Amino acid sequence: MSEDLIIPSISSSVNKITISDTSKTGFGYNPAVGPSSNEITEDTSSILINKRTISLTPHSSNSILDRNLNKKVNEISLSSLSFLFCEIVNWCHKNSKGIQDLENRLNGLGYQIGQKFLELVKIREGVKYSKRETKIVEILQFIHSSMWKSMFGKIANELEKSQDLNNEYMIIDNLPIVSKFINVPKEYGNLNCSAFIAGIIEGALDSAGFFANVSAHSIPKDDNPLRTVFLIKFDESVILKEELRYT
Amino acid sequence: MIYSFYIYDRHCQCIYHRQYNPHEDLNKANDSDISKLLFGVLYSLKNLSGKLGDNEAFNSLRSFSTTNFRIHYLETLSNFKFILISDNSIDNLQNILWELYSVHFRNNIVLNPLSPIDFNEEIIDNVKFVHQTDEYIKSLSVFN
Amino acid sequence: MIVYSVYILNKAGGLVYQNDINPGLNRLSANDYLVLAGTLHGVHAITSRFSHSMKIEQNEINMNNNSNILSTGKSLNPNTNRTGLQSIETDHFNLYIQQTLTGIKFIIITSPLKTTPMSRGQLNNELDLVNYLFRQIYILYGDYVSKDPFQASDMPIKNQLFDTKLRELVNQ
Repeated sequence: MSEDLIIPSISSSVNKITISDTSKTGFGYNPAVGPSSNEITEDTSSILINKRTISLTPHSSNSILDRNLNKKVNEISLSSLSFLFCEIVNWCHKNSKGIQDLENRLNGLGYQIGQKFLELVKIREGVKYSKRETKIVEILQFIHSSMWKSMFGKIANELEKSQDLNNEYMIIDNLPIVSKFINVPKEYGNLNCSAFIAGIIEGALDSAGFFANVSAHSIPKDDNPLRTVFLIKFDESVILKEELRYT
Repeated sequence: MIYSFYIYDRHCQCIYHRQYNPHEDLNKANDSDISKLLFGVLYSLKNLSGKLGDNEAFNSLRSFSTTNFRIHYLETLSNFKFILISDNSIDNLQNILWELYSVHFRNNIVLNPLSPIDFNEEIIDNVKFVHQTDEYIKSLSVFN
Repeated sequence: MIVYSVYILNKAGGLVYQNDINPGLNRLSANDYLVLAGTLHGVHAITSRFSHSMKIEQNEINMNNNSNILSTGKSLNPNTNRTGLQSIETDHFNLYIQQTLTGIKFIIITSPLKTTPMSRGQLNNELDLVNYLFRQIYILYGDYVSKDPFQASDMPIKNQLFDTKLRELVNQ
């Protein structure tokens, strides 16, 4: 059995290349044989060696690391992000002792990002317009809008203050992007993978001088099954500082 | 285009096989693996459609297809199975199968005192039947 | 066309997902569904042997597909079910089998299409519709099943998000 092999970049010589040992059914999966082989034999290798190619791997002038830091729009593929995050969750899950531990690990990973990301967003805002937030409400508004926008391309849906406790605030996102495709099985209880984002918020707040604990909770609504509330509990010292300074 | 025509009896034997395209053959492949596999496939799919279909009425298999061909199927009350294989642009040959059974098979096999009804290891080699069905199938607009 | 059910089979022929979206089919026991999946998997493999021995020209399909890939650089149709069982027509339902590059089978069961005797191409038009649906379902599968960290490959899919998205898609 032999068949024409497809190599998209060589058009003229395609018809001449044949490969033994592939199925008659075309490329792809053949139920009788399994995935068909695209093995390269002696005949084809010389053609492959001689063909002209265009390098698709980034080199020094255009790699993501060498781009200007101030460039505002840096879009990445949601699919690759989701797959990466999927593996991150898997990896944390494998090492963790329980659900609480898993959330802590995700939180810890996010924390390091938050610390650095705060600085990056500030730099991107430009020295002229940027300032250091000193009030709780201001830093929360900054995270809710500017930082959320540069991380996820949208601002968070709501920002609320707890009525009962004066050190509790809430940022609410109806569809957190990293966990958009994650379905938490019932046996995992109230695990929420957005603990990672909670970690980012915590890192950013801490490095801005507002010491806080942030946790993520799923509070679904009818049309937003993935609605997540990020509960921010500030340290007493932060509240005290604010009271002393502004009242 | 119609490729071939099979009849199975109630003992799962292929009693008639007539190939039209790409070349003509008569009763050459009655015992071949393909004819056995074909019977097996039809048997499985018939069971499947009977199970999945609504409980109230019996659900019968009409045809199935691959990219290259469509297999049309009719089972009579006496458990004879009539099968036509065509290319997959032809949607429905149920009435042709019924005609083959109710006219040609009935006249030449059932009403023929010299022909067995219960085929034991025998096949249909009745010249008149072959001739009539050939003529009928070849006269169809979908034959070529 | 009403979609009754969507099943997903892993590459070994095991039933990993079942969603009876609209009523219309008989309910079977859990075991019977597994048998049904196995039967379809087996029949699919056997029918692909028919094509080889029935000596029907099939190069044309491959050629078309290949030239498509050459000219556009991508495979326009994710369905790799080239020679195996593609559809079943019965009095009460039509059943379609699509296969992905990795050997996962999507089985879509719809209401039957009333064909007039001797008509041509009606079923193939219906198949195109189902193929479009399959592409959409495959996208949902790619998003909500393969990107879920709690989903092991080839294992049963218990995913509420996927359930709801699929229902929305099919009933829209």
